[in-house]
Amino acid sequence: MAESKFKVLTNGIFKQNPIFIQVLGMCPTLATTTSAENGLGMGLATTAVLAMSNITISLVRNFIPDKIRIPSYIVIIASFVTMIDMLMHGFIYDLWKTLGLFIPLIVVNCIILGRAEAFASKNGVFRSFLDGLGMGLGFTASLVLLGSVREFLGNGSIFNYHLSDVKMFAMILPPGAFIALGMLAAFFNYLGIKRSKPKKAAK
Amino acid sequence: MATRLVFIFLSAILINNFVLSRFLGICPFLGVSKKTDTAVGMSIAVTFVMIMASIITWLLNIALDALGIPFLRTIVFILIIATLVQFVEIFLKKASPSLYDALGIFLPLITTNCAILGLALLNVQQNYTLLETIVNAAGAGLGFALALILFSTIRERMELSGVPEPFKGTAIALITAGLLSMAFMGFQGLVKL
Amino acid sequence: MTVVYSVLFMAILGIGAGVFLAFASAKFAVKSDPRITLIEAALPGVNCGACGFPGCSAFAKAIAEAKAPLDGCIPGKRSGVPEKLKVIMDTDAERLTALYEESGEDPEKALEKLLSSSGTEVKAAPPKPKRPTQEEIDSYKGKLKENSRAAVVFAILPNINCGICGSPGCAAFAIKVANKEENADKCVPGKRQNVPEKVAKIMALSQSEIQKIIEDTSGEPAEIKKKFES
Repeated sequence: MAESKFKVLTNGIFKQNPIFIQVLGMCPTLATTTSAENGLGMGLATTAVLAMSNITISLVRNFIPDKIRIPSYIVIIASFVTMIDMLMHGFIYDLWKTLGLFIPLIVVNCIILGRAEAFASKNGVFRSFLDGLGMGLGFTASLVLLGSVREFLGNGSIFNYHLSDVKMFAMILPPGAFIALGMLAAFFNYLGIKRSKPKKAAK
Repeated sequence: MATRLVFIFLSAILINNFVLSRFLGICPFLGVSKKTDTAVGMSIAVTFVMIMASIITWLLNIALDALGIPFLRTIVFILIIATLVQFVEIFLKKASPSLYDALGIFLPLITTNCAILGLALLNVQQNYTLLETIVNAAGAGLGFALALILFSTIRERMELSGVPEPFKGTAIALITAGLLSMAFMGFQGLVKL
Repeated sequence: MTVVYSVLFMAILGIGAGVFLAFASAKFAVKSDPRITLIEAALPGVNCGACGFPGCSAFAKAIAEAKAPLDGCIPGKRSGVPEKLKVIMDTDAERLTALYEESGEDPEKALEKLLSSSGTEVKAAPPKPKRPTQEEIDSYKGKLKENSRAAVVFAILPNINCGICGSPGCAAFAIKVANKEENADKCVPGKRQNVPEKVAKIMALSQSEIQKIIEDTSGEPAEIKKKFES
């Protein structure tokens, strides 16, 4: 268990990427990636909540009785989500309006509860912070990737920077979300398979 | 009045299907839909929790607004949902152990089902009356059930087809969901709310 | 005032939810039969699969439902497990529940109480066999490449790495067997799969026959295993 702190951080980006490997947090992934910017905003908000809740839960992990730990985690996470919601409402109103319902829904993002249960309840404060940060960054990166793909195909731009005139509007609509994510997942699976094939041949 | 209720009901099931249009409840949608009988059991549990949760949260929302503490909405709502799911678990264990065993891990997972919290928040956002809330919840549950059961029947068949290696599992499920979502888009504009 | 209202509201809500759930869990309590728990406590807990069930929990369940023979647990035979299971199965549910609750819901304690009160002579359970670590398993698997006879033996072993044979993993055991340092009988889960007979066949082969097998199957354990399936 003496994982280096660096490994704790990068774990969430590649090896245990929340979206492509663990298949968690699907709802916000599909709903908020209509553009790269929205994906980035959602990802960063989730990262903030992840980091803060991981720290807090790690701090109080020895004081929470086992039987009520899940509801306690939920209350802690919900409090941070409410804070982020109000901050976004005040300071980045346009993004807040676009993300809408999905900001309070960060509470039920399985990633946050999952990491609280799997990591923060058993590890020290700084490592829990790194784990939360890593998972959040992995989540954000995946969101930005999906958002860029959808925005590029659907609007011909990335981060509102106009690049092409191809506009497949369907990509911005719900079906496009499912299909784009499915194709990306298949692509990453393919990379994973290719990686393990040379190892098999060497045996 | 009655027409408005019918509109809300239809909208929740077909036009703005919670899973395929609103992207709520995707995790159980992808996770539980491998077999049709678990899909049916899950749908029933979710619909029940949806209706109960909507009623209780709607009532509590009045208290929150009256006391001037609307910012507590998210925390209060999720607590109610968590409590309700816990209660359903306890009740099912006694009343129907077979269903309890069949649902297994998915029962506590209903708490993190964004569809239920999303539904509760939507009811409040759209200022529905209590009756409209109940109808919306019933529709949402049925819409979820429809999407889930349809999807599970397709997936059961896909198990037997020759899916290329990289696409196996989540990837082909997502693409299929996309096609299903496209089909449901055909209902757009069916009812003007 | 907002702060007061918030605190009061959350407090009432929290207490209300807690009381509601406590009441519900008491009212809808399901008395679970401690029989399975006690059976599990009597088993070695190695999850070797020799009984034919997927793990000790599954075997315990089957015993409780009278779907498995009492002497099905082969590693347990040495430590008197069949006798213990007989005592548990012969006791009625009420007495078991009472004993279980008396022992503060500790399965080991309850089992001790039950056995001593029934007057059965209980042999002390041998220390639980050590399961090898992943590093040990991998390092011995690597060594198989140097010993082709061991590789063939390894292919016909159950490959569960339960540790009952005393060696750190099936690969290590295979190497010892190939070097005639160990008796294939020690593989308890393997008895069901005719491992001793297959090992006898392998040991009777010449080195060139061993080489041929490796070549024919490109060293794939599954293919090698097929060759010894009669």
